[in-house]
Amino acid sequence: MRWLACLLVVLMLVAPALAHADALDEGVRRVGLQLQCPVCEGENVADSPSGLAGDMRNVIRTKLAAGEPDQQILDEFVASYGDSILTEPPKRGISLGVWIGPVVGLLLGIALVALLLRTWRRPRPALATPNGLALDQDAADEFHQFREEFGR
Amino acid sequence: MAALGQICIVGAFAMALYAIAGSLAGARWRAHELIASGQHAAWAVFGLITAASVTLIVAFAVHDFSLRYVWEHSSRAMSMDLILAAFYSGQQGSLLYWAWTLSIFTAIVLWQQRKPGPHRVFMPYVVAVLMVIEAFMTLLLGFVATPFEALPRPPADGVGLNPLLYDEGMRIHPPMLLAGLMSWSVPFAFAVAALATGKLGNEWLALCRRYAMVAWVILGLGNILGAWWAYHVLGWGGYWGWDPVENVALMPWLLGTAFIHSIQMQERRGMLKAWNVALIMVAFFLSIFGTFVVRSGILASVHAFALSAIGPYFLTFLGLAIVGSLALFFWRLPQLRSDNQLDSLLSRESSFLINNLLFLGITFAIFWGTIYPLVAEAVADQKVSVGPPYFKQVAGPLFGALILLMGIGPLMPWRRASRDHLAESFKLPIIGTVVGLLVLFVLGVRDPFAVLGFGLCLFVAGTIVQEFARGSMARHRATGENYVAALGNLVRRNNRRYGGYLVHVGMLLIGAGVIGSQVYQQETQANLAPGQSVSLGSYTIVANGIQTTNPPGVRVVDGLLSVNGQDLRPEKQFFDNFPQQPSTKVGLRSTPFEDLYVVLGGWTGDGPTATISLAVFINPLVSWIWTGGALLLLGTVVSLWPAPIPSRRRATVPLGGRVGAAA
Repeated sequence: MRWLACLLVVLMLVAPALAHADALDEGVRRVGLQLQCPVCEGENVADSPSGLAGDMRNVIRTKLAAGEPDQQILDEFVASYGDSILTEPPKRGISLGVWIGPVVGLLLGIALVALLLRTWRRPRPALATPNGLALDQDAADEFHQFREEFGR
Repeated sequence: MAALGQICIVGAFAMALYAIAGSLAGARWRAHELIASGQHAAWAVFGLITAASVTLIVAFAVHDFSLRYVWEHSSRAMSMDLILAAFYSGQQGSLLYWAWTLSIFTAIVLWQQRKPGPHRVFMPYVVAVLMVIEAFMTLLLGFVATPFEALPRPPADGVGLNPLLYDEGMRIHPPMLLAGLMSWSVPFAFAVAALATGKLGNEWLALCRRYAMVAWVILGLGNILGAWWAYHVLGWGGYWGWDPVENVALMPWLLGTAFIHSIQMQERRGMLKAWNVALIMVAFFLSIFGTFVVRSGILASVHAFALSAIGPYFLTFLGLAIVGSLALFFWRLPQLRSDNQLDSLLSRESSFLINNLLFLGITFAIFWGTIYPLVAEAVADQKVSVGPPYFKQVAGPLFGALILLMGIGPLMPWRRASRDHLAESFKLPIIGTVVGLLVLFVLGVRDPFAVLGFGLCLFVAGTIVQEFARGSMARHRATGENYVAALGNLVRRNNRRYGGYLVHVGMLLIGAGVIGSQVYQQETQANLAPGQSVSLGSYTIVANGIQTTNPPGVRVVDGLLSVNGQDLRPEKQFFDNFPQQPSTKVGLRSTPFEDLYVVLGGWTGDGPTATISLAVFINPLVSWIWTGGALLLLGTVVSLWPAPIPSRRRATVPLGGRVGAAA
C-alpha cells in the first residue's frame, strides 16, 4: 500500500499539470472528437489525417472563434450529414436501439442470476442431522483453506 | 510451387476428412486401430499444412511472382526479415497461418495426451472436432481463397507489402492475434468431447484448463500488442479505437476470462457445469466470427459482406457449428445439473456468478454496438455510426464494477463468509485506499472519474498486497524461513492462486494506464518555422526543419526536433509502391509516468528551412499498460508452472507414520 502511495506521490511531482494547450485548439479537438470523419473508416474528425477532416476542423475553429457553443456546431453538422456524423449515437430514432440492447441484456442477466441463486438456496435435505455431517464438511473446507494458505 | 502447395492443401483436406471418419467410427465401435489411424491422419494433416506453409515462405524468399499471392504482397526490394509479415499480410495467407497454427496445436495435444489414461476416451472426439475445423479451413484454402493461385505470365516485380506492415509491432501482433483466436478451438474440442462421451465431470475441465489459459494469454497479448502497434504507428495519440476489428478480437477474450473463472466453481463445488460448456462454446463461436471479421472487413457495410468470397462459407460453417453444438448441449443438459447448493449470498460462489454476469454483459454490449450498424442497415436501411463514446459509456461502468469485484471476490471464502472475517480482510485495504486518495487529491487528482477509478485500483492493489503479506508471514511463522524465501515458496507452492494475483496486478496496471491516459491526456498542434517552438506540459519543442533520406524502395522524411535540448525525430515514410499511403512513425519519449508523443503531420519547403506541422500529445501512464501486459504473461506462466510434489517427500519422514501420510 505504502509503496503505491509513494509511487503516486512521485508520479504527481514528476508530471505536474502545467500550462494547458491553447483554448481554441482544445475546443476544436473537443468538438472534433464527437464527429465521425465522413470519408474514413472509423476515424473521428479530430484525429483523421484526411483532407475533409482538416476542412471540418477549420470550420469548427472558425465557428468556435465566432463564439458558437459546441452543441450548435454539432447540430449544424447533423443537419447537413445526418445523425451518423456523430461518434456517439444519439438516443433517438434508430440509434436508440443500440443503447437499449445492453440495458435489456444486463437486466435479463441479473434476472437469470437471481433466479439461479433462488434455486440454489433451497434448503438441502441431506444435512438434516444437526452437528455430525455439517460440522465435518465445514471442518474439511477450513482444512482445505488452511492448506492453500500455508502451502500444503 | 503453385502445384506443390495446392497438392499439400488438398491432401490435408482429404486427410482431415479421413481423421474425422476414423476417429468417430473408432469411438462408436470401440475399434482402437481406427482411433489410432485417425490420430495418424491428424499428424499427416500437420505435416501437409506445414509443407504448404513452408512452400509459401520459400516462394516469398525466392520472389516467385508466378504466385498471385506472392506478387500481391511482396516485392524484390523487400528485405528477408519481412517475409513472415508478408506471409500473413493478406486474407489467404492469414487463413493458411490460422490453419497451420491449428495443426500445430493439434499435434501438441496429440503429443501431450499420447500416454494411456482416463483422458483417452475424449481423444477421438477431440481429434474429430479439431479436424472438422481444419477440414473447413483447408476447404477454403484449397478451393475458395487459395494462396497458391498461379499467374499465367509472372510479372518482373511484385506490388509490395502494405506500408503499415513494415513496423516491428505488425510482425508480432497479427500472428499473436490470429493464433489467439485459433487456440480457443482446443478447449472447445474438449467441451464437445465431454458432451459426446457424457463424461461431464471434472476430467475434461482438468484437461482443457491449461489449453484455455494458453489461449487466453495468447489472445490477450495479441490484443495488447495490437494496441501497442496502433499507438506507435497510427499516430492519433491513442491505443484502442473501439474499431469493429478490435472489438471482435476482444470479445472471445472476455468470455474466455469468464470461463477461466467459472470453471473453478465446477472444480471446487460441482456447480455451473452446463454454464461452463456453454461459455466455452460461445467463446469459440466468437473466435471464428472474429477470424472472419478480421480477415474480411465485413462490418464496414453489408454490401462489403456480399462481396467477400469467403463470407458465405464462414457464415455457413458458423451456423452449422452453432446448431450442432446446441443440439449436443441440449441432449446432455439433464446430466449437467449442479452437485451442490449455495450456502450464502456472501461467498466466493456468488462473487463468481457476478463476475460472469459482468463479463457477459460487457461482451454483449460490445457485440451489440459492433453489429448494430449492420443490423440498422439491413433492417431499416439507415446508416448508424457507433463510435467510442458508446463503448466507453456502456462498458466503462461494467469494467469499473469488475475491478471492484477483483478486490472483493478473492477474499471471499468458499461457501459462506462471516461478517467479522470480511471486516477483518477489508479493513487495511480500505484504510490504504482512503489514504492514497487523500494523497492524490492533495496532488491535484480531482476529476471524479479519475478519483473513482484510481480509488478502485488502490483498493484492489491493497487486497493483493495484503494477500501476499499474510501468506508469507504465515509461512515465516510456520517454517521459520525468512520473508523473501517465504514469499518465493508461497508463490511456488500455490502457483495457481498467486499467479492469478499477478495477472490481477497486471490488469490493475492496465486499468490505471487507461484511466490516466483517458482523463489527463493533453494535446496541441503547431506549425513551426525553423527555430520556432511549442510548449506542452514540461516540454518545449524546437523545430529545425526536415531531413529526407532514401533507403531502397522508400522515402523517409524526418522532422528534426529538439525536446528540452534532446533530439526527437518523428517520421513519415513514403513507400514507392504506395505513394498515396504514407505511414507514420511517432516520435516518442517515454517515461514511467508519461509519454511525450509527437506526430509529424506535414511540411512546406525542404531541408533545414522547412516549416513543419506537428501534433503533440502528453499521454500519462500509457507505459503502465504495456507493463501490465507483461505481468499478464508472467502471471499466467506462474499459474501454469507444474506444481512441486512436496507431499511425497514428506510422507517418507517417519513422524508417526500416519500423520505424515495425511499431509
